[in-house]
Amino acid sequence: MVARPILSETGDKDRKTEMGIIMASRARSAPVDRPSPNIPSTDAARVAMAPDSLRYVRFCLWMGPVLLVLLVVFFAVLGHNIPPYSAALPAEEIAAHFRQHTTSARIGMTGMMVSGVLYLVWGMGIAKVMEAAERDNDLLSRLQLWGAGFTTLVLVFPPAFWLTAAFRPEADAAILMMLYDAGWIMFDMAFSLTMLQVTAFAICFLNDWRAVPLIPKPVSWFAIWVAVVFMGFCFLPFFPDGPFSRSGFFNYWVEFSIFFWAMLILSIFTLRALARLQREAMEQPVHA
Amino acid sequence: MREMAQHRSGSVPGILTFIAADTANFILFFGYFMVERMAQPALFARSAAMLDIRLGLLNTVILITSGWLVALSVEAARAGEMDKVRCRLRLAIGVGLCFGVVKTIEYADKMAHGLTPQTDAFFTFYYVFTGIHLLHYGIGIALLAATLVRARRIDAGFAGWIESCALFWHMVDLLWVFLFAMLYLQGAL
Repeated sequence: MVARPILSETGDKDRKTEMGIIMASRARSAPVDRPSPNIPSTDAARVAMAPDSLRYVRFCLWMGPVLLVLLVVFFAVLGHNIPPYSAALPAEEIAAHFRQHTTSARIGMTGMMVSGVLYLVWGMGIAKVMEAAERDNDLLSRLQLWGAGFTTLVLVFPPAFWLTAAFRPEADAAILMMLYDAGWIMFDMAFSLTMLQVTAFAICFLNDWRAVPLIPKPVSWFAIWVAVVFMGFCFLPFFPDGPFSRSGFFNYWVEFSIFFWAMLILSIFTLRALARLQREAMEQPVHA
Repeated sequence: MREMAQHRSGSVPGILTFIAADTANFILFFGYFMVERMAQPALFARSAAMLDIRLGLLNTVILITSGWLVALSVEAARAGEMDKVRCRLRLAIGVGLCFGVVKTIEYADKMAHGLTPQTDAFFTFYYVFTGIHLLHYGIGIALLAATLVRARRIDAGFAGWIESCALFWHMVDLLWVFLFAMLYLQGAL
């Protein structure tokens, strides 16, 4: 019985696909005494014996919907951010929020800071699915992962500003307002990091040459549209009030909410893609 | 050229998903604008009258001409006449670039007269809508330029690529026609 090396030094064009899929198929169907694949950085025998080597990828992908729920609870509900306070409000009114909702703001922002890391975990899951679609190199999956990693910081740092305000609710109203503004400006204006993630995702799957792509093309085009729509955040610094302000109709209810819709849609379709990869891997005959 | 012929009878370009979503977004913009306009008709009419309808009309003609040239490029691509594709694309890009020049002149003129996004609700919409359209225009010009580079050699995916870029460019045309009617013609009524 001869096992094909999973990671070759030269790296053929389907290397990633094989690595992602064949590992799964072998793990499921290979007997324990199968010669170990040549994986330098892992305990190969342990990987080969794993009952489902894609289980970690599935776990990572599920962290997207999990984070979505946590964000709704911590950021939206406990943080009283549906919608945020208008930038046109006087400092006293914004300060009153931190003084009235001190505890819920502290719980919400702490929860957001703790759970924000799940975005990176989700991004790693997406990267593994992308690797199955990449042919010549892993540039796009890496870009996607970096985009997800930096977006994680956007989910962690702005709540630190809001938590600081909730930590010192007795502080001067102008300072509390500045902390609130700083958090929101960082939260909204760092959109380019997420743009990078969704654009890399879209380009990768638009170049998937399978007869039936892993991710349907309309989903990839949706991701590109999301990236373009995010550019609307550029108007935020110019309008303290109105439809293009941070709490306005377009900025908040359209552009900002699209971030969450994108998380949901990308999660659904990458989980479906993973299920398909797993099915294909199980159907694939093991070469003897 | 068999691939191009096959493509022609084949699937709908995936970019239509993007176009549908983006058009829906603009419809939302236009709807919001009309609601605001109904609330302040006098202000909107007064502010719209400050726009130069001739520049708006000139830009409409520019984009329609450029769109027509791109449509001709697609026809040439389907016929496999790559020389014509390149020639027409160059013309389309050249004409299309004039839109950016006219828009820059128009923005500079408005700014010089103290008309900024903060002037009133109409000018907020004017700058935001035309700004977002300008972003689409920039993407469109970049796509046409990429198409021109790609047209140096024939490849299997070219027909699908040029059709997708043409569809995007026509969307940029179409959105401008609506913007022109909504923002500029309002002041002429």
